[in-house]
Amino acid sequence: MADALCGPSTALQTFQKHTSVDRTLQQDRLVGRHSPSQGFRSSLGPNNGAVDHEFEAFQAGHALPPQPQFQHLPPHLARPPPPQFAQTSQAPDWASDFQRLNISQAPQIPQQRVPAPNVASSWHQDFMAKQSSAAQAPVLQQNGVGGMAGYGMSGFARPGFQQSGFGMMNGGPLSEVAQGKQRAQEAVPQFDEAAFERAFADVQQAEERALADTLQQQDTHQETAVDNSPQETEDPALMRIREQRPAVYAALKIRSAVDLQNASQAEPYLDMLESMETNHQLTKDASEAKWVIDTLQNIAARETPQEIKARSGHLIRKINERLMSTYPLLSAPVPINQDRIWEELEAAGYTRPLVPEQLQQPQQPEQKQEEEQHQPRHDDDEMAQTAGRLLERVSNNTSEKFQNSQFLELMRRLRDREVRVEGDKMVEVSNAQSASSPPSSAPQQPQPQPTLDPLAANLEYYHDVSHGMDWSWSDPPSPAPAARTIIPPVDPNILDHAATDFDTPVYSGESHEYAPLPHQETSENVTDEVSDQYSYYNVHSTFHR
Amino acid sequence: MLEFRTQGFNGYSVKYSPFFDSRIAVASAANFGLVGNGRLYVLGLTANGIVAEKWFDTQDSLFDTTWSEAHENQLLTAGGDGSVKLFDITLDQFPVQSWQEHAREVFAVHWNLVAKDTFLSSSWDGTIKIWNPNAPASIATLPTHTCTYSAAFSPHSPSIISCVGSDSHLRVFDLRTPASASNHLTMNIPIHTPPKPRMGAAAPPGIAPAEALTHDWNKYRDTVVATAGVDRLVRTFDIRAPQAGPIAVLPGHEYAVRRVSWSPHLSDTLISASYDMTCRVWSDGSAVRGPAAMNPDDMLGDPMMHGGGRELGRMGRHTEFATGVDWCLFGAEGWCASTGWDERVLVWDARALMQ
Repeated sequence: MADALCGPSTALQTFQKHTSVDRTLQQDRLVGRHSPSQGFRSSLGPNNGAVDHEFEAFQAGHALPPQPQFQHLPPHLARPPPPQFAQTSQAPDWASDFQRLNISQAPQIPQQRVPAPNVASSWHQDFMAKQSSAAQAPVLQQNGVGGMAGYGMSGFARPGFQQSGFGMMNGGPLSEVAQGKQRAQEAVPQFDEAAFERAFADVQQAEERALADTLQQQDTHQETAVDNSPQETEDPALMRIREQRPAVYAALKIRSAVDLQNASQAEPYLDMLESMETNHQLTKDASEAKWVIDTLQNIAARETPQEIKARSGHLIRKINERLMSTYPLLSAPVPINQDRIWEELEAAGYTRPLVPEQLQQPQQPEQKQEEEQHQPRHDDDEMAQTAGRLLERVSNNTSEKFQNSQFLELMRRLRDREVRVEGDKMVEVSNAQSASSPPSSAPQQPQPQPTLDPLAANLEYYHDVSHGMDWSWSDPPSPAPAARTIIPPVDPNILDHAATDFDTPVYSGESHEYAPLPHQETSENVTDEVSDQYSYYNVHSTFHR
Repeated sequence: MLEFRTQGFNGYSVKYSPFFDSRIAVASAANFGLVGNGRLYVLGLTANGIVAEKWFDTQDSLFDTTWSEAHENQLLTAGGDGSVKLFDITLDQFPVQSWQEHAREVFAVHWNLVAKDTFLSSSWDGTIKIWNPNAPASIATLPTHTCTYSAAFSPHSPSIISCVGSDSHLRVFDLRTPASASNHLTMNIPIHTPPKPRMGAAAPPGIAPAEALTHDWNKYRDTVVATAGVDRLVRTFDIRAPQAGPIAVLPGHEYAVRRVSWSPHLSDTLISASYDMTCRVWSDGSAVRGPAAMNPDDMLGDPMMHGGGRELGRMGRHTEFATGVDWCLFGAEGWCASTGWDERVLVWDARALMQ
C-alpha cells in the first residue's frame, strides 16, 4: 500500500488511490464495538468472557476489581457515590463538561502547556540574541522561564501562547464562556454527604415507629397519606419539602434507605410513590416527576436489592408513561425546571459534591454489565419474559394452526418455566432440578443469550398495528380507580415510540445541550451514515446490546 | 406437492441449486434456532420423492445458505456463532473453509451472481462483509450500523450490493465508488415512506418504521427491489427514484414476512414466506395479467394497497412459521420449494395456486 500513497505521482496512480486503497481495517474500528463473545448463544471458551471484561476495563482505565462499597468507609475516605441527583442540576453543556474533565484539574495545565511556551521562548531567545546586545540576554531568559511579565517580546509571548492553547482545547472563542461557567459552578455550594446521612440516621428510629401508622393511613385516605407520613422531628427545611413536595421527599427517603443498605425502609416510600403515581398526584408537577425519575434511575443503577431495582424500574416506566400521556409533545410547552427543587434541597442542606460524581459515572454501565454476566438466572427470566411477550402478540389468533403450533407451545412452556435453556439444550425443569449439580463440562459457561428478542419484535408490530393504526391515544382504560379528580388516561403504547432514557432531553425553556446533528439541507439521497438516520433509531434497544 | 421431513431441525432457508434442477439445500437449526446445533441438508428430487443426499452438522444454528455460482458442489452457510462456512458435498462431515469474523449471528449469505468470485455475508453486528473463497480474511467490510437481516448482490452488476435491516432502510452500496466516509454507500431508502399521494385518491396512511427482514432484486428489471418485514407489507422500490416511495405495496400477510423472492421466469411475480405460516404468490402489478387483474375487490379492499399488484395465490400447508422459499430456475415456471419451523421442506408448483 505504501507505494500507492507516496512516490512520484502520475494521473493513473492518483486515480488508483481512489479505488484501490483498502480501508477495511479502519472501518472495522467503527463496527467492532461488541466483544465477539458477548452476543452468541454458545460461548467460545470457559473463561473467555471474563478475560474480555477485564481487558475492557483495563482499556477504559478502570481499576480492578471494582471499588469497595463506599458506604462503609468514613466520610473522608469514602469515594463519592454514583451519580444521584446531580447531573441534571447544572447547566450541562459540552463546554462545562469539558471544563470538569480537563481544565478544572488545575495542576495538569502547566505540565501540558510547558512545551509550547518553551519552544516559543527559545525561538524568541534565538531571535533576540541575534538582534540585541549580549547584556539583555539574561533578562530575556528570565522572562522565558516565566518569572515576570517584562518588556521583552518573550514576556508577551508566553501568556499569549497559553491563551491560545486554551482556545484550541476549548474549541476557539468559547473558552472564556466555558471558564465563566466553571466559576458559576464552583459558586454552587458543595453539599455535605455526612450531614445528609447523619440527619437520616437520627430520624431513623422515629421513622420506624411512625411508618406503621402511615401505612394504615394510606389505606384509609390515600390522597392524604403523604401529609400524614412520619411526624418525626426534622429540620424545618426538610419538613417543608415533605409538605410541599411529597414525591421528592419520598424519593430522598428511598435513596437514603438504599444508601444505608436498609432496603426494608425504602419499601413504604416506594409504595407511597406508586400510589401517588396512580392518583396522578406525582405528575401534577412535571419537573417534580422528572426529578423523581432521575433519582429512581440512579437508585436502580446502583447495587440495590433486586426487588427495589425492579420496583423502581417499573415505577420509572409508569411515571414516564403518565408524564408523556399527560403532557403530549406538541401541547403547550411545560417548563421543566428543577432548579427550584435544588434550591430547596440546598436550603435543607442535603446536597453533595458534584464534580467527582461525574467522573465516576462512566464506570457504572460496565459494572452493571459485569453483574449481568454473572447472573445466569437472569437470562432465564429474560427468556421467559420474552416468550410471554411473544405469546401475547399472537394471543388473539385463534386459528387452528396457531393453537397447535409446537413453537408456540414451547414458548408457553418457557414462559411457565417448565422448560429452560441450559447450555446448548432445552431442559425440562423438573429433570434439571433432580440433577441439579452444575454441568461438569463447563461450569463457568455463561448462559446462552436468548435469541428470541428479534422474533418477539417481529411479531410485536402486529400488536402495534392492531391497536394503534389510527394513532389515537384515547382507547385504553386507565388502571386508576375512579377518583374524585379526573385522572388523564395513560396510553400503554406511548413509550414504544419514544426513547425512555431521558438522558439528553431538549427542554423548550432551555438552550440546546448538544450541538444539533448536521441537518440535511436537501432531500437528496442520504449517503452519509452519520446524518439523520439515527434520529429515530434507538441503538440502546434490546437487540443491539 | 413433494415433502421432506428435516427431523429434529427447524428450517430457516431453502435454496435451489443453480446447476441442477433436482438439488436443494436447506439450512436448519435445532430448537427453532434458540439454542443448539444446525444442520445443512442437501436434498435430491428423485422419482421416489425427496431424499437427503447429504447433510452436514454444525455446532451452532444455521440461518441461511447459498450455492456457489462457481462450483456446482459447493455451498455456503451462515451460522449463529458468527461463522461463514463453505461446504463441499463431495466431502464428508467438515467444511472446506470457515471464516470467523462477524461478532454476532450471521443472517444472510449470498454469492456474487455476475463476477462469481466473491460472496457476502451480513450479520446482526451491523456489517456486511465481502469475501473471496480463496482468501483467509474478508476483503471488505461495509458498516450498516443496524442489525442487518438480509444482504444481496445485484443479479445485474458485480459491484452493487443491497441490504435491509432493523432500521427500516434499504441500503445500496456500490463498490466502484471510492471508500470514502460513506463506505461505498450510495443510497439509503426509507422503506416505511408511504407512496406519493395521487391526484383524486386519498393519501395513503402513514406507517411507523418497522424492521425489514428480507429483500430481493428483480431478475428482469435491474432497478427494482422488493422488501418485506415486520410491518407485514411487501413493497417494491425502483432505485432510480429513491425518494418516490414504493412503487407497489402488497398487504395481505397477517404476520411479519420472513422471505421474498422474485420469480426467475416472470418479471412481475414474487413469492413470500411469512410468520403467518403461509407462502403467497404476488404480482406487483407491473405486467398485464388478464381480466383477473381488474378484480374490484382488490382495488377497494386494503387502504395500504398500492401500485395495482395483488395476491395471486397462497400455500398454507406449513403448520409452523414459514421461513424460507425459493424458485426453481429450471423447467416450467412456477416450481418452488419452501421450508418452515414445522421441520418440513415442501416442493410445489405455484401455478396451481395462481388465479
